[in-house]
Amino acid sequence: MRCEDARAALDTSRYGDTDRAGEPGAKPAVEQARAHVEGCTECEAFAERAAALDRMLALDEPQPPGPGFDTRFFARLEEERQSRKRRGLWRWTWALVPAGVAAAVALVGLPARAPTPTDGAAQGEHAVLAEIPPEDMALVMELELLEDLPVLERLEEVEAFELLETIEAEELEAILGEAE
Amino acid sequence: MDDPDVALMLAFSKGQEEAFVELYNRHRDRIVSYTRRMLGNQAQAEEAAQDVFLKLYRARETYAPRSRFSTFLYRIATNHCLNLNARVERKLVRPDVEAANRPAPERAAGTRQDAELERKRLRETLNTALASLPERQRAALLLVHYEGMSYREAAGAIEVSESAIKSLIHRARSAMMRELEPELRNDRGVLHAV
Repeated sequence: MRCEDARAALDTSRYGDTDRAGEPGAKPAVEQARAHVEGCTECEAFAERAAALDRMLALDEPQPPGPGFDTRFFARLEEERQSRKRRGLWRWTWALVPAGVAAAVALVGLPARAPTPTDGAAQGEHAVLAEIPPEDMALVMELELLEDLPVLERLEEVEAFELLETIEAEELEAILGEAE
Repeated sequence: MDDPDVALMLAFSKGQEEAFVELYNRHRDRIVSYTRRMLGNQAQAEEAAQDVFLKLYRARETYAPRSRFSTFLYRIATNHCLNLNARVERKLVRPDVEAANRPAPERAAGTRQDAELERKRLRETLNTALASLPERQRAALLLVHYEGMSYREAAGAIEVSESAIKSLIHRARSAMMRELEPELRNDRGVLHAV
């Protein structure tokens, strides 16, 4: 075993490593290292210094935190909790903004939808309407109503259909039976 | 997993705030010691330890027990210290070579005060040597030597392989032995101080 490998194995074994070197059944690396140290003056000196290092490391004992540590920490924790609450509220507020905007748009009557290819035509129509003198507007409105005349002519049917929905099923069956 | 701290963290994840306080009480001193050894400054270490527990508090929503709780906690602490050092580019205090090469004072009549002074001097020399280590070597040595972690746990905390941890520790110890050579050669002072 080389000196460097022996020293590495000794260091590793200090913290509970039991790796076995080489083939199954071979001596653990640490046993090989100890055998090497017995016959190597330099590695023996290394082992002594390593033991002295452990003693020196033991001088640095854990120290509790200074006074007021807990008070400061729990104040920061409370601040964190409040901050999380505020962030939560803001998240809800921002989540509600689109709904609020949509509601406002619906109330004011602005187009609450993405532009479509027909929007250009609608804008053109609005431009034409804007050029019509106010005194002629009543006539234009009448003409526009005329476009809906077919619907108006069948208004009675629509009303009849709505009336059908209010009739109970049994009554409807009776009416249909009479019709047959 | 048979780890009571994992059970506490899971309870905290489900909303039991008192479980967090219990975890804090259990690990506070060790985390403060760890951050002090990592950062080399008590005030900065206390601030960093508090940051670590605040990060633990925030982690409750995403916590999944994949390892021992201590591995999880020290991973937070290690990453936080590494980030702090990287951000601040803290000047490492190099050991005073001249002072380190000066032979340790001979033990006089051996008063209790002398021993205490000697212990203090050795602790300072030790901390200077620890501070001079590359950060990952320092973290590996601290976790295994002072926190009593297994190689596997330390590997999880630093997020490297077990063989890398062994290598880091061997290099750390070798560097410490070089830095502390005069003290270790004259072991009487250490033996007296222990």
